[in-house]
Amino acid sequence: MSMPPDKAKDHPEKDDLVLKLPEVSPAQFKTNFIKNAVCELRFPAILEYESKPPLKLQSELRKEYPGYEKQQGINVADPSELEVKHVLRSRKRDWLVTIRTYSIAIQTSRYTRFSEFLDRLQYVFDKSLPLIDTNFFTRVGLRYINEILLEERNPVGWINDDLIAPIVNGIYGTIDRYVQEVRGSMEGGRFTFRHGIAGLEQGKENTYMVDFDFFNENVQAEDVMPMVADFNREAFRFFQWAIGPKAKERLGQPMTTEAK
Amino acid sequence: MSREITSAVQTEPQLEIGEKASDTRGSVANRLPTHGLAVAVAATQVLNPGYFLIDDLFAPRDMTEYRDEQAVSLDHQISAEISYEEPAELSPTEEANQSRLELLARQYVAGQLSTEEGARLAIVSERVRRLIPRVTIQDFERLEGIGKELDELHFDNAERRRRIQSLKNM
Repeated sequence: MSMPPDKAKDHPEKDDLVLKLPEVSPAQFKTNFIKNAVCELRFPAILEYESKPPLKLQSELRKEYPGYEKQQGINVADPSELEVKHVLRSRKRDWLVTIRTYSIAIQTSRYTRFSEFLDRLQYVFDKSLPLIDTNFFTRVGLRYINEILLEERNPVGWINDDLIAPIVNGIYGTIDRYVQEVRGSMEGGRFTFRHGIAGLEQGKENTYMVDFDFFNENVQAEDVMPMVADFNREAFRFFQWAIGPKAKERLGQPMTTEAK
Repeated sequence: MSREITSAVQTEPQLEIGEKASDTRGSVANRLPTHGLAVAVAATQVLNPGYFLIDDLFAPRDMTEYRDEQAVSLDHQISAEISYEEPAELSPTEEANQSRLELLARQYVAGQLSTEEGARLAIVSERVRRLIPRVTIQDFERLEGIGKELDELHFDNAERRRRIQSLKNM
């Protein structure tokens, strides 16, 4: 029995509180718009990584990630805060593993398919788990940053009309910058969705950014990989909903039934 | 660190959606301490502020100023070249105690810890509790000895009372 509309508004059902996306069949395309794909696992801080390199971890990962860079960041607002990062790179320098005192992340700028990404993540996960002295993660996040090259800075047709309704309706006229961020809950976690045209100052005036970040907190180690796979499924559905027919045309026909 | 965004090492300009100097400043009443993202670059270079990825948007805390981070040093090394003199090995107890002390000091000075630091503090505190228990087996053995002495005293007292009573009855 369904509630009357006014009652439903006062007492939203559980399904109304989380992200609801149309179902789509998993698929893999010849091309994609992913500029950066990253999976970050945050764990209870390891203080020694602040003062010395994670030698054991680096040694375990060296076979696949032989390149090494140490990076130090200082907070301009609070110079006493210093963050050290250890970046390991693959031979072709297209995959990198970033180790902070509180996290390990794998990232690529040449994303091809999820199975490869997952294999890489599994490798890093298996090698690092015994060395980080924990069996749970404080945060697990999967993020895809897509860039869609527009024609003449007009996102109409490239992006779902629901996301750019004021532009479709000509409310804003010619725009220099258009960005939106949405944060919410979904089954099995939370999401942050950013999209928009960054603007002239970014030198990407013809680029529409579609940035998905799915995450959950306090995750047992054994749940990490299935969770990342779930995030990926959700990301694919979200992406398919967010883009317009022109972007789908550029993606072409699906090659396989594997998501992304 | 911001808990809301999965950190990505930034190699190119990305969607920059933070507050700018030209924007209207928001209230600072709800300002929360956050860490910005350190900018990662492929090589040493002068950083353009436009390269900063601002990781918060539109939430109350984001309307206050954000913290930028600037790469101040960058060492390129080949992994095989790295050598580091290992300090003397610490026992698990010493190691846990040292981490706990450092985190407690950090908490005292900074007023709070990040989620990840708090989680580590909980782990090392539990480890210290188990490795250095406040009550040892020797303490229990000593208590048991005291209990036995008390029992003997009770027995002796009872015996004395019995003798005194029998003397009175004579």
